[in-house]
Amino acid sequence: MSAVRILDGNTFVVTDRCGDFETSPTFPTGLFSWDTRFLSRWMLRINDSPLYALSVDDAEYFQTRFFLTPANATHGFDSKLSIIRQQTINDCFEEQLTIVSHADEPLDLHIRIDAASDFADISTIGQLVERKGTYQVRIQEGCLHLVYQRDDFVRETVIHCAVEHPDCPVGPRTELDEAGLTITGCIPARGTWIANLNASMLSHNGRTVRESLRGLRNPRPRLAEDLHRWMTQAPKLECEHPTLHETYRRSLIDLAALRYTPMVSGGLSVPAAGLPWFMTIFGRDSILTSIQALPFASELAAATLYALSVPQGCRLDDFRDEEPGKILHEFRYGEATAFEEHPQSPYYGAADTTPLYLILMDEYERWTGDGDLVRRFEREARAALDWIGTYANLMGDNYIWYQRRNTRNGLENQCWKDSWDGISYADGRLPGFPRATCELQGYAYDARIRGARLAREFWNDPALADRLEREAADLKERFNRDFWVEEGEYYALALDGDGGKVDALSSNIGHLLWSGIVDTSRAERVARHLVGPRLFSGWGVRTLAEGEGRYNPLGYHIGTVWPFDNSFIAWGLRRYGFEEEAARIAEGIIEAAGYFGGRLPEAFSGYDRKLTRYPVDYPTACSPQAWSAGTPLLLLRTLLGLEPVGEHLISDAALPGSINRLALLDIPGRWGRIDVLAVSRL
Amino acid sequence: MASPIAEFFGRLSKAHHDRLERITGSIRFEVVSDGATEGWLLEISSGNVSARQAEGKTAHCVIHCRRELLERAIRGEQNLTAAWLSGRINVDGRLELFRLFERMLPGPPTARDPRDLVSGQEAGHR
Repeated sequence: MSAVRILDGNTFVVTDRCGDFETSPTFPTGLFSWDTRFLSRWMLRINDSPLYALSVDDAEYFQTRFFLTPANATHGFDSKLSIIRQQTINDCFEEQLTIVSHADEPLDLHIRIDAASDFADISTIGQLVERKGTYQVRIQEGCLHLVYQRDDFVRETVIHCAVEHPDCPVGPRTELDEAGLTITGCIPARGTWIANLNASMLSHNGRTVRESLRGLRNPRPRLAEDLHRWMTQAPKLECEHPTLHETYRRSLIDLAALRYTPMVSGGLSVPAAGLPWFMTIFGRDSILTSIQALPFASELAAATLYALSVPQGCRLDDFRDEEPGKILHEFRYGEATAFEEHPQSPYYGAADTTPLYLILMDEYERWTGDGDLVRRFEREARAALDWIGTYANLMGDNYIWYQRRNTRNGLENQCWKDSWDGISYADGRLPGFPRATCELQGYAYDARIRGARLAREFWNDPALADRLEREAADLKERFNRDFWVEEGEYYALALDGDGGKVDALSSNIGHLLWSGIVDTSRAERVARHLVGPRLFSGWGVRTLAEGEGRYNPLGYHIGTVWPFDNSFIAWGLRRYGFEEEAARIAEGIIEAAGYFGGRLPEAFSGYDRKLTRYPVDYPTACSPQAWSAGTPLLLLRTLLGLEPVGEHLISDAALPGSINRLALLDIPGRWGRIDVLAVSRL
Repeated sequence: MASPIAEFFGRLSKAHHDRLERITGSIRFEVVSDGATEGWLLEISSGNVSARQAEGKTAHCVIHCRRELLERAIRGEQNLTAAWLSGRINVDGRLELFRLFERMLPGPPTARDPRDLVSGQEAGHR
């Protein structure tokens, strides 16, 4: 099924090419808001005939127009009628159904829309879950009400329909029933009917979910104006590359679409992680996307820092894997979370979000000069630094370790490769717990270095700065001793609970370059692995090297290529002076984007480029996904060698062969706005 | 003897809260029990909290819930965010005040320190 998605924050619709949807057991089709499915069936039939899609216009992320005609068994389609189905998300779901007759005589029409909802929690779709609430369907005051109630938890869809008939005094008759609605009548010759359907999504008290959770009605900007403002504020890209321009534009639009205003962010919008499964705040995804987008839209970083500060961990809670100072992993609003069957209220099972939060704070200030934010969140930043040295320091050796306390449905792997088999030895065995993955140590190193700068420049605490720098130096020295795999000449993926090396060769070593924890003497060997045949597919760096026990080119974290991973790897390579290697990875990922219409998926397969010639889709990848949309932005930064230094923006471009000339105009930052132009020199 | 709710609010009033240093605002609690409603007003300013029993005062945030639920939350036995998501608590007005209040509640009494989990110790790791 080719899915059409429209969205606004965490409200979205997934339909087929005609604008219809019905329940799929595995893929989340339907109308969703705040993690609940409000419509699971929405099917249009005209005179009992299904419809045939002539074309689909989804240029706007919050609106899709389907151009349809009734399918006809003998001729393929019936040209007497045109149907334009315009679906819009704007807090509620709106469908404007325009029926245009091309006939010279009146036609009898029977328009049927089936509507139903299972009110599924998106996090339980694909699982067999016995629903504990009750369903009710009623027709009241001209509306069809679909209701699900479990104790005080109420979710309700209210469907309303009004038909305009501009060409004739007598319009069609609209009738509601418990399974949908029917519009019947005689459309005059060359006449038009316009049916305006509306589905509101309500919580208890008959308020919209947003209003009832928020407590306030929040006027929202008009989406079209908001998108226009977003696009005009972003830097302008000029280049002659065939796909880079479209990829850049697509990335900006997708990041605009994925912006979502959580309950506590001062009304600012953070990047939600990805459609359709992850339309909520994820600490890791929101932070890394904000870092990628800093040179383009620093407002995402400010919002993310705000939204992650308020719910910072403040107590011990086993079910939520919460500890004081820890930055959250995931927040959900659905039934399973509300009734504490799932722990995302919020869940804190991530060992990387806390150091990444500090890294984002420092990087944000370097770009924007917004020292007020650094001072405002001093207490939270100190608590985050404390967490790294205490609750994360499970073994007393100053490495970050993780071991879940929620053994029912907490995450086994609390790093970005969080699937159950994401961390393995070279021979394929899985290590015991706790585990200390290598990139966590890199982040902790970087967070201390950056924390020291913040302490010195903004918190007036040189003693803390000195201590953090001493700890960072010590960490770097021990890390280079404890994680280095001599025979392979790379860093181990992790340490196991006995201090042994989890010796698989993985993309994680690229993050170490980004963090700066790699000894300069070893950087070249790491770089050689990253662009070598076991890790580099020709499109990008695989999550796990070919030849490792668990390697699978279609394995989620064990062989696929993740664009976001590659963007940080390329940045890391540049940090250590490997311009050519960075450019090669950037070029591969940008070329791959061309095969996806400029929209990089969450992941694609790790097959060798020479074998498949095009990047093979990973079957259930999220798209659009925030950190994939952010990837071209960080790659541009990397190719242009953009670094804020003091009050200035420095550029030291290193372009790959396929990009002769690159200009990025109006780059915003503490310097105001600045243009950067580069020509190929590699 | 003071009720658990009165005791808890009393404790909040005595302490200084770093977390609230930049916050100014008021929360009114409407605590329902046996059909009667008990009103509490929490005023937050510069890291200090003052709590008093008061009916019908206007506030920036109004939290409406059952007494038994609030008492469980005060003992760390009920997560208030989950209660809010499930509709057992109604919040009107400035949501961040509710979220900040929620952060002042204790965690579950049986929760463990992750370092104790690894070392196998019962307590006293630090």
